[in-house]
Amino acid sequence: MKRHFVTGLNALAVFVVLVGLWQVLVWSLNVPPYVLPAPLQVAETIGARFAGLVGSLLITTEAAGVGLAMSIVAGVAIALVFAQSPWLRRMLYPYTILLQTVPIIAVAPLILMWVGSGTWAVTLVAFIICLAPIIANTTQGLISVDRNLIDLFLMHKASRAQILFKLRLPHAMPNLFVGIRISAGISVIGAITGELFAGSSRVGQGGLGYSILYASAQLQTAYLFALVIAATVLGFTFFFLVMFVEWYFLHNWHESTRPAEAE
Amino acid sequence: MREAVPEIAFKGVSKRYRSGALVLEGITLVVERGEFISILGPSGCGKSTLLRLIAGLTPLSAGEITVNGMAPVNARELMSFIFQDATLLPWRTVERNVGLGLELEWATRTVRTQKVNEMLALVGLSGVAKSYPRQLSGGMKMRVSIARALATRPRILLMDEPFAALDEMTRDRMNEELLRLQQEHGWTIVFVTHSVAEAVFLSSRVVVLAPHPGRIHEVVEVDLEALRSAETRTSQLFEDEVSRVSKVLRGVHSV
Repeated sequence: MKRHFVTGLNALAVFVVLVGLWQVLVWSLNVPPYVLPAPLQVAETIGARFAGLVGSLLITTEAAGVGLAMSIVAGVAIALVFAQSPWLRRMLYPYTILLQTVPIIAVAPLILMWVGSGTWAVTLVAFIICLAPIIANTTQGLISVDRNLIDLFLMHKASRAQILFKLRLPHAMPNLFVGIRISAGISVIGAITGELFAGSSRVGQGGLGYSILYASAQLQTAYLFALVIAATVLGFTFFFLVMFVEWYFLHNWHESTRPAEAE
Repeated sequence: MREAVPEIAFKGVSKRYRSGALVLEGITLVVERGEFISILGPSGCGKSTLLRLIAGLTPLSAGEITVNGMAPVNARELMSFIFQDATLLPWRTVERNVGLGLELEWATRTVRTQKVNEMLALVGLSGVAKSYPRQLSGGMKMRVSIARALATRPRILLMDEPFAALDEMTRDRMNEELLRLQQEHGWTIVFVTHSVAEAVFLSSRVVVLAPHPGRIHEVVEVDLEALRSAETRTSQLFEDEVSRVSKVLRGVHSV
C-alpha cells in the first residue's frame, strides 16, 4: 500500500516538473498562445468553457460507449458462431482480419455517405473499429479449451449448448476482457475519427472530434489542448472502468487479476 | 442361470490414429465387476488410449469393447473418468465443481446440494466448499476431482494417472483412502499408472503393456490380502510382489 503511494507521488512529481517547465518555457521564450498556450492559459480556458467542453465530452462518450457495447454483443455472438465450426471459422476469419487492417480513417467518409452524418454514424464508426479485437480474442478463448475438460463434459452426456455455455464461454471470459480492454481504448479514437467527418448533429454543439476541428480552424489552440485533455481523460476512464468490471468478474479465480506477490 | 455379463470386455481391440500409427493391437481382456485392475507400461504404450476407449471418448479401429454388455458410449452413466490433472473449472467454487456432473445431468437443486455435501464429507473437504480451486493444494484439488466423479454414483471409475502429480506422502494416503472406498462401495476401477508400487498396492491384477504397438505383455495376479493398509507397504510380501512385477516390466524392454 505504502509502495503504491510512493510510486503515485513520484509520478505526480514528474507531472508537476514537466508542466512547470512548459510554463517557464512559454513565458521566457514569449511563444505566441496560438502556437503553444501556457498550461495556466489552458487551465483558464477549461474553466471558462467548461460547459461546452463537458457537452462535447458527453456526446463523444455516448457514441464511443454505445459503439463499444454494440461491438461486445455482436463480437461475442460472432465468436460463438465461429466456435461451433472450424469450417465456418476458416471461411470467415480472414474478413475479421480485414476488418482490423482496413484504415478506419479512410472508411469513415464512406460510412457517413451511406448512413448520413450524425450520432448514429459516429457510433457505427466506433462499433466497426471495436469489433475485430472482440471477435478475435473471444474466439481464441472459446476454442482453446483443454481437451480433457471437453471429455469430462461428454462423460456426463453434456449437450453442445451445455459445453458452450458452461465451459467454453466462462473459459473465454479472460480473453473477452483482453478484447474489451483493447476496444475500450480505440472506441474513443473511433468516435473522434467519426466526428471529424460527421460534423455536428446538434446546433452549435458537437462531440470532441467536431470541436477539435472547429477549434483548430479558429486557432483556438488553448481550447484544442483542453479538448485533447478531455479525450485522454475519456480514454483513461473507459480503460479503468473495464479494468474494474474485469476485476469484479474474474478476481475470484483468474490469475491476471491476482495482486502481485510482495517482493 | 444366465451367465454374468462382464463389466468391461475387450475382444481383439486395435486402435490406429488418423495418422496411421498403430497404438494398440489385439487387446483381449475381461475386467470383472468390483475388480481393481491397473494398467502399467512404459510411456507411449497406449495406456491412456486404452482408458479413453473404455469411456468411448475415442473410436476403436478393430475389435469390440463392451461395458456391462453395452457399447461404451451408451454406458457412460455407469462410468466416471478421473484425469491426471484435477481438471477443475477455475471459475467455480469447490462445491459447484463437485456438483458439475449432477448439474449436467439435470439433477434438481435439492438432490445436488445433498449429494455434494455428502461427497465433500467423504473426501474430507467440507471446510473448503466455498473456496476456489486456486486456493487449494494439489492433493486437495485431486480430492475435489474425485468427489465430482463420485457424485454421479458411478459403478466404474476410469483413472488416468490421477496421483502422478502429487508428492509421495499425499499419494500414499490417497491410495489408502481410494482402496478403502473401493472396498466399501464395490466399484470397478481401471487405474493407469507408471508406478509399480502403486499398481501392486492398489490392484488385484496388473496388466503390463508393451509398446510399439501397445499390446498386453502379461497380466500379473497380485498375491496380497484384499484389504491393504499403510503397513502393507513395509511388508516383505509387498516388496516381493513389487520386484516380481518390476521384473515383468523389465521384460517388456528386453523383448
